[in-house]
Amino acid sequence: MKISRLEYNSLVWFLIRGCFIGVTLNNIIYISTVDSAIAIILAILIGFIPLFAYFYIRNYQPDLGIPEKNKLLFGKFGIFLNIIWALFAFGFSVIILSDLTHFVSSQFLYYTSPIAITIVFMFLVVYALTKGVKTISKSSLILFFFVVIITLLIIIGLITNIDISNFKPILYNGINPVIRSTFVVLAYNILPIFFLLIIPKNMVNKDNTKLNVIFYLVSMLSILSVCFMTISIFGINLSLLFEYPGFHLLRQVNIGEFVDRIEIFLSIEWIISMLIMLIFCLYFFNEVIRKTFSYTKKWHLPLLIIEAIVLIIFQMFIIDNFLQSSVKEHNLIFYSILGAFIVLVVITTIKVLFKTKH
Amino acid sequence: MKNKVFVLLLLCLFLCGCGNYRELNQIAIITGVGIDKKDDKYEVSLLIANAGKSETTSKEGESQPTVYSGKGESLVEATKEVDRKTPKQLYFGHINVVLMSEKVAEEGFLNIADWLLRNPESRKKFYLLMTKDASAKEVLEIVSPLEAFPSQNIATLMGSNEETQAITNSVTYSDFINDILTSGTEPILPSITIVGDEEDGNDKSNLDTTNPESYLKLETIALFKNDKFKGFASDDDSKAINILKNTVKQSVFTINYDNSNVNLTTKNISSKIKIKSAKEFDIKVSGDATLAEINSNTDLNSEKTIKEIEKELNKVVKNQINKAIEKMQTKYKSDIFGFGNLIYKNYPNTWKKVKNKWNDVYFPKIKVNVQTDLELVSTGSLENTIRKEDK
Repeated sequence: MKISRLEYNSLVWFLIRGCFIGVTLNNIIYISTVDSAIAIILAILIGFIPLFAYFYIRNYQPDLGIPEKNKLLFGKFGIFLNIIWALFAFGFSVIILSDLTHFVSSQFLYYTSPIAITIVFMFLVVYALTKGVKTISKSSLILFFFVVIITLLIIIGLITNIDISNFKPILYNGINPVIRSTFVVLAYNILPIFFLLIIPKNMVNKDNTKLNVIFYLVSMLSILSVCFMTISIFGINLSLLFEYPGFHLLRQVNIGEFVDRIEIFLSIEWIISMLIMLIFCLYFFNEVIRKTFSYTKKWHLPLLIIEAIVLIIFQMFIIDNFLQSSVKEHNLIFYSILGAFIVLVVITTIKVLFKTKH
Repeated sequence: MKNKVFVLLLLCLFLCGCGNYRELNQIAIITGVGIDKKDDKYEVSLLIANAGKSETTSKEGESQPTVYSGKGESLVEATKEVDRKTPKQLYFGHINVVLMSEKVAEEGFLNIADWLLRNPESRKKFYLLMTKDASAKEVLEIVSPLEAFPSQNIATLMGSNEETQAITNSVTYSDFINDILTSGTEPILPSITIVGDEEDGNDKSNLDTTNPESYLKLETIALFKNDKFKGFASDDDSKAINILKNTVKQSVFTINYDNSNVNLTTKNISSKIKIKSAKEFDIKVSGDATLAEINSNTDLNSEKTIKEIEKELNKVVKNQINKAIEKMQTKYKSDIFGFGNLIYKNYPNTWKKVKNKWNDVYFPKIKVNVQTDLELVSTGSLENTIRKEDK
C-alpha cells in the first residue's frame, strides 16, 4: 500500500518538531542563551549534509527499507547495525515518552499520577502501531494541517510583542556554546529524519526530493520561529527560568484583545508532535526488529504490548531521573550517543557510495 | 473479536470520567493575593472570589469576595494555614493582582518571588503592586461601589489610570522578575494606598453610600535597587520615568504662560534612548499635545503664541526628565531607565568591567542629553480663549 508524498513529508515535520519543546529548546537556551537562534540557523545549514546523506541512502535500492538495505550492504554485520538502529529508535521513544508525560503532568494534570498519563498515551500508541504505516502517515497529514493552523495563530498572536533588542549582545560568550547548541539541534531535530528510511522510497507515491527539502526547511524554520519568539518576547532571563518557555510563551498569545487564554488549546500542537514522533520511532523499532528477525504476524500485537510495558517500566522506574540529567546536562553519554548515530549514518552512506560506484 | 472485547474493557477504565476532577463549588477561586510580614513571619491573604458567604443577602447568583489569611515561615506554609481554614481547595488559576507590603519589598522580592511563578496553576500574567501606608491585607479588603471584587477594582483602576495618568504604570509579576534579572536595569512597581479609614472601607455599607468612607487610590512609582524597595518617586518623577520607559499613553502637564497656568494633555509620547558611548546617552522624546485648559486672554490664533506654548511645554517636560534622572543618579543610585542594559547590549566587554559597580559608581557619572520634541497639534473644541472683547 502506497502512501502519498504529502503524508510522507508531514512525518518530516513531526519528526523535526517532536523533541523541540521539551528537550531542544530548554537545552539550547541553557547552553547558548541569546545566540540560540543563531545555533538553529547554523543547524539548518549543517543539516543539509545529513539530509543529503539521507537522500543518498534512500535512493539506493528504492524498494527496500533500511533493515533490508543494511543486510544487503553489510551481510551479517548488517544485523548488528540494524540492532543499533533499533536501539536508537527505542532510545528516542524513551526520551519522547518521558518528555510527553512530564510535559502533560507538569503543565496540565498536576494532580494526576504520571504513570496514568503514560499508560493512556501508550494505549493510543499501541493502537496506532497495530494499524500500520498508512494509518500513521494519514493521521499525521490530517494533524499536520491542524498544527500548521495553530502555528500560524501563534505567530499572529505574538508578532506584536517581539523585541529584537533581546538578542543583544550577540556572541557574548563566544562561538563554542553556539556550536554545542547546533549539535543539540542536529541530534534531536535533524537526525530523527533518518527514521523515515524505514519507508522504502518506492512506497511513496510520486516522491519528490524538492518537496522533501521544502518540508525540511519549513519545519526547521518553524522551530526557529519558536526559539526566536521565546527569546525576543520573554527575554533571556525568563526563558531560562521557565521549565517549558515555549509553552509559557503561548500564554502571551492575544489576538485583537479578544482571543486570549488559549494556551491549552495551542499547546495541543506540541502534544501532537511528540505523539506522532513517539509512534513513528516505535514503528521504526518494530519494523527493524520484524525485518531483521523475520517473526510471524501473530507475534506483532504481543510484542507491541511487551514493548509498551518495557517503555513504561523504563520511563517510570529506571530511566526518568537519569534521563533528566543526561539529556539536560549533555554529558559524555549524550555526545557518545550522538557520535555513534553520526558514525552509523556515515558508515551506511560510505557503503552505499562504494556499492553504487562498483 | 477477543482483542476488541479486551480493548473495550480497558476503555471502561479510562472513559469513566476524570479521576481528579474538581467541581466549581469545591474550589476557592483566588483573585487577589496579599503578602505582608508580621512578627518575622509572612502573612498571606487570599481574596476568594466565590465564597458565597452572603447568599441569603446578596442578589441571586452574585458571589461575595472573602479574604482569608494565614501566617508561616514561608509563603507556602502561610498558604497551607489558609488551606486549613477554608473548606474548599485553593485554586490559583485566576489571580488578578498580587500586593506586597513595604516591609516585604524592603527585605527583597526574590525572597518571595518563587512560589507564584513555580505554581503551575498560576498564569503569571497578573499585576504586581506595592502597598503604601497600608498592609496588603487591608488593601485587599477594601470594597468599592464601582467594582464587585476588590481585586478587579485594583486591576480596573490600573487599566484606566495607565491610559489617562502618567504617575502610575502596570507591571506584571513576570515582567518584574525579568527586570530584576536583566543586566543593567532596575525594576519599578506601581503602588496603591487606602484613602480614608480601612475599617469603614471593608464594611458593606461602604457600597451603599454616595460618598464612600474609604477607597483605593493608585500612588506613585515604587523604586527598587536589585530586588529591594528603596523609596517612592514623586508625581513629577513618576511621569518622567513612565515617559522614558514608554509606559504612558496620556499625560497632563501644567505650564506657566502669560502669568497664567495652561494645562496640556500629551498623547502618543514616545522616547528613544540612544547610546553614544558607555558614558554618554541621548534621549529623544516626541509626541503630540492638546490644549486642555487655558484661562487667560492669550490669543491662540497667533502662530507665535502656539510656538511659545510649545516651547514652554518642551522646557517643562525636559526639566522633569532631567530632574528624575538626576535624582536616580544621586539619591537612589538605581538605574531604572536601563542605561546599563544598553551598555551590556552594545558594549558587552565594557559592561563586564563596570557591572559590579554600575549603580553606585558609574551610573551617577553618566551624561544624559535630553531632547524633547512635543508638538501642540490641537487647541481642543475652542478656537480661542474665552474672553470678553473690548466693546
